[in-house]
Amino acid sequence: MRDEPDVLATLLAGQDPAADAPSAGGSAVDHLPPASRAWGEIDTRSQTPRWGMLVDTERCIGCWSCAVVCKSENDVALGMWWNRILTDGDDLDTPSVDAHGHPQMEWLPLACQHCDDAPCEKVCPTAATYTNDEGIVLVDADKCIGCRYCMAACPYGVRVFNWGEPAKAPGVEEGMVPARPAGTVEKCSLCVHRIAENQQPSCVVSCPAQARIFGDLNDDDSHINQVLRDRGGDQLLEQKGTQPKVRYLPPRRRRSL
Amino acid sequence: MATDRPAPTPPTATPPPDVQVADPTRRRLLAALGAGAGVAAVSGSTVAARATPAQASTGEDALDVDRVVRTTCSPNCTGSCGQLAFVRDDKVVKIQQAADFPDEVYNPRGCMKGLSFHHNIHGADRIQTPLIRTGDRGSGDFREASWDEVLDRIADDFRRIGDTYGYETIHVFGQVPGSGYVHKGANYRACAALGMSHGTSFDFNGDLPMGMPITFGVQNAEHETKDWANSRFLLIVGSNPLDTRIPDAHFLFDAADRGARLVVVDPTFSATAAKADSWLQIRPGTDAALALGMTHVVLDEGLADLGFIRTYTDGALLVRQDTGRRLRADELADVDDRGQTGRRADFDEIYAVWDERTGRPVALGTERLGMPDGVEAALEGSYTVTLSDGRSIDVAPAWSHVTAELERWSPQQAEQVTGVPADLIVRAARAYATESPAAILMGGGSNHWFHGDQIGRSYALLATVTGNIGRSGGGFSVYVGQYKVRLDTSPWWHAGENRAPIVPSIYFLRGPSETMHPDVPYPEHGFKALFCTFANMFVQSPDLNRLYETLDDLELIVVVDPILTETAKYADIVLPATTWYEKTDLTATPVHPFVQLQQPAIPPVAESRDELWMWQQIVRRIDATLAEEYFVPHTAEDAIEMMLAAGDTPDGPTHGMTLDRLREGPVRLNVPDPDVPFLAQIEQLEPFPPRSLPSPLEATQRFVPTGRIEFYKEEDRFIESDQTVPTHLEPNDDGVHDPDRFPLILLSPHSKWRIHSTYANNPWLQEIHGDRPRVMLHPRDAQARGIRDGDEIDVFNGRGQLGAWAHVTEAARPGSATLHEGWWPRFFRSGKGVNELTTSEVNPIHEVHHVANTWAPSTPWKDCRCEVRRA
Amino acid sequence: MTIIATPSPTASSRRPWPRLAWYAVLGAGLLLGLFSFGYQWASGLTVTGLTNTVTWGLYIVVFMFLVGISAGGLIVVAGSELIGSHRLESLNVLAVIVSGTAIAAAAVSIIPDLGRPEMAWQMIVSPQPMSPLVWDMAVITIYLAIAAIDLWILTRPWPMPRALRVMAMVSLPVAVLVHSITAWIFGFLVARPFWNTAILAPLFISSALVSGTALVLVIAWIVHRVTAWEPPPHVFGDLGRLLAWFVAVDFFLLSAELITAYTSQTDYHLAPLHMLLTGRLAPVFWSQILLGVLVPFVVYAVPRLRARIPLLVGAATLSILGVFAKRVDILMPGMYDPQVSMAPGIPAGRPDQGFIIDELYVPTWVEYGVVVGIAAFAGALITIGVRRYVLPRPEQS
Ligand SMILES: Nc1nc2c(c(=O)[nH]1)N[C@H]1C(S)=C(S)[C@@H](COP(=O)(O)OP(=O)(O)OC[C@H]3O[C@@H](n4cnc5c(=O)[nH]c(N)nc54)[C@H](O)[C@@H]3O)O[C@H]1N2
Ligand SMILES: Nc1nc2c(c(=O)[nH]1)N[C@H]1C(S)=C(S)[C@@H](COP(=O)(O)OP(=O)(O)OC[C@H]3O[C@@H](n4cnc5c(=O)[nH]c(N)nc54)[C@H](O)[C@@H]3O)O[C@H]1N2
Ligand code: SF4
Ligand code: SF4
Ligand code: SF4
Ligand code: SF4
Ligand code: SF4
Ligand SMILES: [Mo]
Repeated sequence: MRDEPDVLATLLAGQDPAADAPSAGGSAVDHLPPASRAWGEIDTRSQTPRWGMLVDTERCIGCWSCAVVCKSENDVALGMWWNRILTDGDDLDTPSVDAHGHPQMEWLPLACQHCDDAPCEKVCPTAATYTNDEGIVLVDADKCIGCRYCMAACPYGVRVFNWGEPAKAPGVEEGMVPARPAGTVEKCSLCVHRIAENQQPSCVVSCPAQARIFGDLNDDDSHINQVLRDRGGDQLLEQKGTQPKVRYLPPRRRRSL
Repeated sequence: MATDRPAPTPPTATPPPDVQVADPTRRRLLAALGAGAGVAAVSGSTVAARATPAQASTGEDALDVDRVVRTTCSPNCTGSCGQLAFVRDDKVVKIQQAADFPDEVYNPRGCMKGLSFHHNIHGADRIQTPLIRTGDRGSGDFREASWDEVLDRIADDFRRIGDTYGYETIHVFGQVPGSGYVHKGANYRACAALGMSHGTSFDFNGDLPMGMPITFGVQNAEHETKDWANSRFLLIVGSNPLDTRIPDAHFLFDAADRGARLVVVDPTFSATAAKADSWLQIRPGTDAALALGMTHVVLDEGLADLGFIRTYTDGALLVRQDTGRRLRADELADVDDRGQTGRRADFDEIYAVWDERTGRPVALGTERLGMPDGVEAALEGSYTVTLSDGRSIDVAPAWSHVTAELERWSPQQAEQVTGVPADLIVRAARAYATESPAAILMGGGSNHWFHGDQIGRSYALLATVTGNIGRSGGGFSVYVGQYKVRLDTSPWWHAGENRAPIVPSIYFLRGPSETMHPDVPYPEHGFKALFCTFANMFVQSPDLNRLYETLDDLELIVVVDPILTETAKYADIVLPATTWYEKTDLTATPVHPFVQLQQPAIPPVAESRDELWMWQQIVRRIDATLAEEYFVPHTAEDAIEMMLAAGDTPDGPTHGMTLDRLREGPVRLNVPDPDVPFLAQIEQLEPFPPRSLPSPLEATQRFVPTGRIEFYKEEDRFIESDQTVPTHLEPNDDGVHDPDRFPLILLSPHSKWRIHSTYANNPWLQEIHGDRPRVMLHPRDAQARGIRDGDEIDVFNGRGQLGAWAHVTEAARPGSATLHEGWWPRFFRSGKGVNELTTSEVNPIHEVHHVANTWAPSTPWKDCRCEVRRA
Repeated sequence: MTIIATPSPTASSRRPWPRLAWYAVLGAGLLLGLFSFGYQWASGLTVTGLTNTVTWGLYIVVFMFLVGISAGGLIVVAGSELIGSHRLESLNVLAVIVSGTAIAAAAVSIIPDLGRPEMAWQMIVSPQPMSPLVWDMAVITIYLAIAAIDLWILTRPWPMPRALRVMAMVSLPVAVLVHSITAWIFGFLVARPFWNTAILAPLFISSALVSGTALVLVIAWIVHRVTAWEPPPHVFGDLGRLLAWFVAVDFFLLSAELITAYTSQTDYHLAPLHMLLTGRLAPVFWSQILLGVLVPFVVYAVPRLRARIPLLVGAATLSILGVFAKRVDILMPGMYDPQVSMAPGIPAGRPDQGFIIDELYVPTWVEYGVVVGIAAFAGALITIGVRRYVLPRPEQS
């Protein structure tokens, strides 16, 4: 037993964050510090927004920040990813070698493309997969029977299935939305719950390379439309006719010495 | 026990060993219920679901959090990224970048590791209570103990060891300070108060770029990373910013957007090489030859800025041909001493240059740079001068020694050594010299060599010859480690007048070397105890088998860590630390000039406590008066205010900075914008070096006695080893391991997926890149050994052996084996990790002067030969 | 119209042990199936060998196979009815029983494939009209009704030739439709090159004919052997001759598809082809071609071989297995070849598995157990049907 408990008590008082922190509920967005909140805000939106995303593969450094933050934003279980970064090479972060013997490597972040003509939606027997008024392709877990037809139909392989109860690392909890039950399909929701609060999707605000642009494709003034006008934007597997609202900018031309 | 605060939350039961499955009923209910009340009742928490207009029908209603706290991610990483912790039920449930840097180009700083740190906070490897060893060291057998018990025991042992051998035999190893000036500072303060020896980090990490103190007299000096965007040409050598500077990598593309060219020098096809305009696949350890070859071309083609050499470097200073030492003005019988003869410090000497106009030597002081008016100082040639004793001797400008060395480094010769084609060297040199401003970014890959000092000196030469020093968009920046002390920490790190004695940790590992500098306060009785905190020392140190041998002499090993690391397993006592989401601290980094707070987002997990508290408790038990004076009255906030106040002078680093402003978000240091080093030298002709905190200026001024950028070193050891000017020397391990028997160079760069060993156990990151240490081998090397991709292999040399797996890829340079550092031993098939093989050899040049972390032996991680065979 | 040959009243009661043993086997199969399904329902599909790459497996193969059989059986009966041939008339009831059983079993086999079988009613309350799965559900229900009505008509003591003709006219297109729609479940998917081809529906029908006819043949023979039922001796040869044509057409269509894919010489088409010809599915593919097509074809086509009934039955069994293998060969290349197949691959969907770039699907015991249960269910239906409608009722005797 030691003395001086009073000194220690004062000493430790400063260490308890719960002591003076607000403990009221409220959405995560409401709690954001003003600067962070401003950073995440959607630039502009029209009367009838149609949300889209643009990924600059030149700027993408394959860091998976967007993929990881998506998991904690959306409580995506272990073994599941709504968003992942593909390496256009031999293996993860490994180059392929072109005809001249030069190694090459690029990254392709891939999540739901929010197809305007979404094959997953067309095949879903229960209309669990649907497109909302703002062009976002969503899955209503309450209606999903888990037939996985949509997974077979999606050319991009971005849907994942809850084969069992969502698995979590011991002790860890996460998520700004509830997890989906076993036996249902899930995928990128374009962070629809954030858009509702005028915040851009998590992967966009968290990309340290600023390789992602999000915005209203129906608003001429949106940043995404400006860049699409200036630099174009490719669709993945364009020939499939799925009309993705996620577009990609190609890598820059390299200048040899 | 009465004195310790009861844990704010009941200690959580040890989590189940395997994967935990979320409670299905709760989740289904959550999904089904739209309104908050029912859910809150079900979960017994503040979780509540709210319907939002756009998705009322989706069932995807946002969940509430209790609070969002702004803090700073602070592993041993230069990122220093502002993060928001989203907290629910006192658990961090999401981490996202704060993106609140007032300089918008820095937003959003962060990476996938920082964003998944809640798995480390709440994960299975988190230490819950203090532990006392019950089995053999390393067995991992511990029993849980109370804080009182462990603190008493540590205090008793320290007192006993202190009384018997002296407190200086206790080695406190605490890693780089940038990620927490308060709690890491508490280590220094405790050492200062009790007289324990503090270890080193910057040199021990091999990060200390010895070329910098040798050439510029500074510990290091890098441009803030946003300045990359101002470059027209980026020469990236031995640095892999795409993997190791994830939050800053985009500045490279910002530069490219504005038309800059990116050239990457790397033996491996790194991620950064993949983004480059050109990739020069260099033979490992030969960067000096490349830099010299490029400088040769620059001079050859008349692209050099010789005026810059005269003004800012020691190039014009005359060197005696007989002794190899610089000519002092007072040695001369006759010297022209009009003009500049002031001294910057009273230990400085007056040197001499040769004025071609008058054909006479002119005295040159150290007070300011440049040349006296009207003097046309010679850079080449040989001259005869008369000494005051009447003798005539030959002297030559230092620069002529440099150019004589450069003569040898024709592009063809450089190709011979580096393997980079001569025509590429020529074109790279031309582009570098003409596309201006041009920046050199150097990293650990070039620095972590026995002769890394020569590599640094050679690139410094290239940058200086082209006038790129002290220019925005230019510079020679070595990006390594979270080493930098950016504030005046002295009121907190010192205990009154007392300072911690600092012993480079390499001597802890190896014992004193024969060539050790006499100023090193190596304890007479060696070391008897180790207090390791903020470090995974027994994984991350070089030459591990040697380190493990020394442990037998230690009577006590204490390890402080939030995570049960391999190092912790070897401890006699393990103290559970809080993470940076559970305490208050102050951080800064070399890569951007913002000071930030760590602020606790959640109460300490289980029984964990912060380091300041631990020291308060330990010191109090050893010496109540000392504690009363230096520890007990101070909270982390007090410490911060002490440091801020000390730097709050008009020129001080923390001018106008207050704790309250820091609570709101990052505050920029009082530095130029963009933060470019050496501006005062280049623009105001102030002598080199600027001050390197925390050392006093006088300590580092002695490194460059001329007050100039020095390409000629006259200290005996430089002369004896023929290293007076920048030159290339072959890797040191070639002399230890016969290249025929150990034909592969073992490179151990830093992994994208970890910060050293931190995050190695993070389940998300493991999902991405797997959990097997894979050694990258070129197909040719693999084939010659009958190894296929994925095979089990042994990697070995005279120092150790390791069981890993093969990754056969064209990314590897033939003749090299690459195994990223930081894997925990538990992931290998056998062995203690890559550092069983690395070397701890000390370069005597690094012992010519001594200022800990500033001019001290730097570890040569990459200077390492090995062989690989199929297991 | 004659329904059945004269039964021997004592045939089934004479040897009770084999019958009881058969019931025991069926019962055990059903129990295993129920247990496996129950276990799967409790734990989720995580106990199957499926992953996010291979999302459909054994259950769907069985489903495709059973739909094929059902369509095949009925088409043969209805076909001969429409062209006015009465040579196979004696098999009508058996064929309808087989078809009805198969379609019922097909409907059942889709249940264990659902992640949430308890939510299957959503398909009825919230059907999405664009989905081929909804069409399939509808057409399978209709088809099941047709089989029931057919059976009812056929088993009236009085002949109803007009009704039979009408039913044939209805059931033939429905049978074709059932199979086409099942084919289109796959064929409409732009995501899967190997499935997304116009030939898929004809191909499904041709192999349906093979498997359906072959199964009728085999079951007719078994019923004939284990009971006193005596079909006219020529029916086996007739079915064999039909099978020769069906197998030939089926093989032609398959070759047409493979050759088209091959000549395209684009990776897109070649990748699945290589998987079949030389890749991991080659063993299944080549044994299907050799044992499932060539060997039986020789038996069917050569009159001397065809005349040896056991040989013919053996060939028919091979044909059935061959068609099953073909279902595997159609499903798996589509699954194994995701369009975006770069490293590190697709998240497996379970902890500790990370990403999978090159998935090898192996069904687990649970899936086999469930399939055994479905087989037992089908066996039980056929047994009941045969006992009730093919053999004379015990009380009638
Ligand atoms: N993700 C991540 N980021 C980190 C860290 C981490 O552990 N993980 N650690 C932080 C710390 S403390 C440090 S010191 C830095 C270190 O980070 P960097 O400075 O980037 O150092 P390394 O990763 O060791 O090596 C960089 C590159 O040098 C190459 N290289 C190896 N040998 C040679 C050579 O002889 N010449 C040349 N030109 N290149 C060579 C390697 O192939 C590698 O691609 O990263 C910091 N950032
Ligand atoms: N082979 C090889 N080895 C190398 C290198 C190499 O290039 N090759 N690079 C070297 C370099 S550059 C460096 S900088 C070193 C880095 O070496 P270390 O800094 O020792 O490596 P880390 O894995 O970052 O270890 C940090 C430890 O601090 C713990 N920690 C985190 N937060 C806290 C806290 O708040 N309190 C306490 N007490 N502990 C905390 C972490 O859990 C972790 O165990 O490694 C070196 N080792
Ligand atoms: S966060 Fe940005 S840079 Fe990183 S992988 Fe995602 S898109 Fe690429
Ligand atoms: S990418 Fe796939 S899941 Fe997303 S809308 Fe398109 S088809 Fe559907
Ligand atoms: S799995 Fe769910 S979302 Fe997908 S098609 Fe089936 S019912 Fe629709
Ligand atoms: S938009 Fe949201 S849900 Fe979609 S990938 Fe990004 S973070 Fe994930
Ligand atoms: S690990 Fe480093 S780069 Fe990543 S978020 Fe933390 S400080 Fe930033
Ligand atoms: Mo470092």
